[in-house]
Amino acid sequence: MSGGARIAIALCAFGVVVVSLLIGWWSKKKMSSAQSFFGSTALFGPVSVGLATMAAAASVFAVMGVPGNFYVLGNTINLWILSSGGFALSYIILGKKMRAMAELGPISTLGDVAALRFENHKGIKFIFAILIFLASIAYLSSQIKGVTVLFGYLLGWSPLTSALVIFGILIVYTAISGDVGGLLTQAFQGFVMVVAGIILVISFYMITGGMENAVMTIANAGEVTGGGITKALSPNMLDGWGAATNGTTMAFVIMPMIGLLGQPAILSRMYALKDPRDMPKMGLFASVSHLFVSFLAVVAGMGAMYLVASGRILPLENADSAILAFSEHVGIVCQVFTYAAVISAALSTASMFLTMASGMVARDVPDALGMKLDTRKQVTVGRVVMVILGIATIAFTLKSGSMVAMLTTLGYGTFITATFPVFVIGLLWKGCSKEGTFCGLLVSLVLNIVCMILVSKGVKWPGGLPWYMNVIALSIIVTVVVSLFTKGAKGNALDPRVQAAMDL
Amino acid sequence: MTGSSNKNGIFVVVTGILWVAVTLMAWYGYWYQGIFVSLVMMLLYLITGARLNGKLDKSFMVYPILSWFVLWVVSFGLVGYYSSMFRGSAPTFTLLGFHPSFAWVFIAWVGSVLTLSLGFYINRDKWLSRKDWEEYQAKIKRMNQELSKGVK
Repeated sequence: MSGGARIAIALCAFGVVVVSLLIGWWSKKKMSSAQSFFGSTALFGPVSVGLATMAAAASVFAVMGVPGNFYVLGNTINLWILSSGGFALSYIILGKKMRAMAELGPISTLGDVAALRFENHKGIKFIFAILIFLASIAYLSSQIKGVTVLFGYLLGWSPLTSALVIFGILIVYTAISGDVGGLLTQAFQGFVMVVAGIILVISFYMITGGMENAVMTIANAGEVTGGGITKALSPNMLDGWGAATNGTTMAFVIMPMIGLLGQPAILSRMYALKDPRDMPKMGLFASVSHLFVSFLAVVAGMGAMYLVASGRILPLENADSAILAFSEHVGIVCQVFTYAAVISAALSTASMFLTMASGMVARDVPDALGMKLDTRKQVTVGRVVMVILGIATIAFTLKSGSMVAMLTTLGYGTFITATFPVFVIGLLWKGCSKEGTFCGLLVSLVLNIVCMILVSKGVKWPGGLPWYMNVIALSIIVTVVVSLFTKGAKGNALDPRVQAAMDL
Repeated sequence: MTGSSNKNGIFVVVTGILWVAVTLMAWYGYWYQGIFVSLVMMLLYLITGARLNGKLDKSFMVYPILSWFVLWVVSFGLVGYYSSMFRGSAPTFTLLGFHPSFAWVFIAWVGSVLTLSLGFYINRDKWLSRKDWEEYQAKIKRMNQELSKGVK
């Protein structure tokens, strides 16, 4: 890569960071309470919330990891694109009930909704907070790792310098403006990702001469050798299932759709919307913008593979560089937007989970332990926790390699194991008891930790199913079965206002 | 509890059983069939969540819910069909430029936005009308007032 290209890319990437900082600074005037600081409750319209939701849901993994995994597994990973429809599915199932809960009292975090539904059950709030905290830190850590690798490759910076500069700025604007700034910067970052998607898709069709040519070139390439590396290309990689045909494939069909419903990035945005009747419009914005971003990932992976198959570039040393190799071949404009998209994906997801994790530490855990803080103190504590947590996560990510690898096992699946017992079952079924939900969460917590250790030791699960599918099934069935035999916070014992919200 | 609550209860219990069924099917190698069982599970969640005061509008059931369900059942049927047809060899034709099997993933993907997202927007009043929302807000306001009187 030429020196000029490096400078242009670095300037644009920093442009995204600086604009995010300015948006965060500007939006602090909208931040007036714990509700707005931790949850942007009932503050925004469908365009900003829709774009922000999409951006927070699409992490560095979506933009860099999916093309990289495609280079290894083929289309198995591209089943991830199915989540475009998952936004509307999630809103149809839970949107109005979740938003209706925000009318019952001051809602700042998901833990507050859980407290309203389950008579302020301390155990539910505590275990839920621990699970969300662990998965949030795992996500945050992955974003830090992705960005430090990227800037190391681009500017030759050390991981510590990259992390402190990029995430230092993120910590500053998130601490200043809380989730209000977080949401608005995420909307901006989502817009950048959409523009990058359009540019990469056009570039792909120009470089390859069309999808059909790319598919046929890859399907007939066989083995390609260059630079001491041999890459075996198979037509199986291009069919609907990709190289993996087992439980993993099934999980990759289920998880992008119904799994999206269990993501805090989706659930918490349901109550950030001012008017719940705008939720269908928000779903449309999130879905359509996600179409562009997910197709970006598809064409970047396919494009890199096509370039290798046609002998235009050498087989990749590192699969995760697929999107970078493709954009480098296309040219400077494509490169600039690729890097801008990756950094946008990292920042949007990181700010979402930094707010989420600090909300759990500053509000939900103390509340579960019986410590009450007034609203102003909550915001102050939230800010301090954000800064400490942000710096601690950077240090942890860069210094504890094996622990980070273990922790990043958690994430998408862990969120589902925490949110399904509480919100999906809890808000859809009046027969869901607090004892049932508590037991479901307890099973989730124990199994998430056990599985995290087992996965790090290389344990494989039956049928090639990802570990979290087993934990989700077990936590759900435990919640249902225990609820059938217990009585707390269910049926007629429910707060009539909660019943009204659930009837919507 | 009302009849609609009981129906929701049955649906939620069934979805719990289906989660376990899907997991076990994957364990024993029936992952492809498991995909169709999971679609039924998602359908039940959609029906349960879309109900308004215990009732689901028929036109909302048709579009977006059933339209999406039928599209995905057909699409994933064809993903499997074309995958089996060309497994181990290059496809002899493409669909929309893609491997025919992946083309049906593509159709399911874009189709889910055209059914679920667009249908949800078009039929939004059947999911939650302004009147329903205002009635709910008034009800909560009334209940909160009664609650505060009770506390005093």
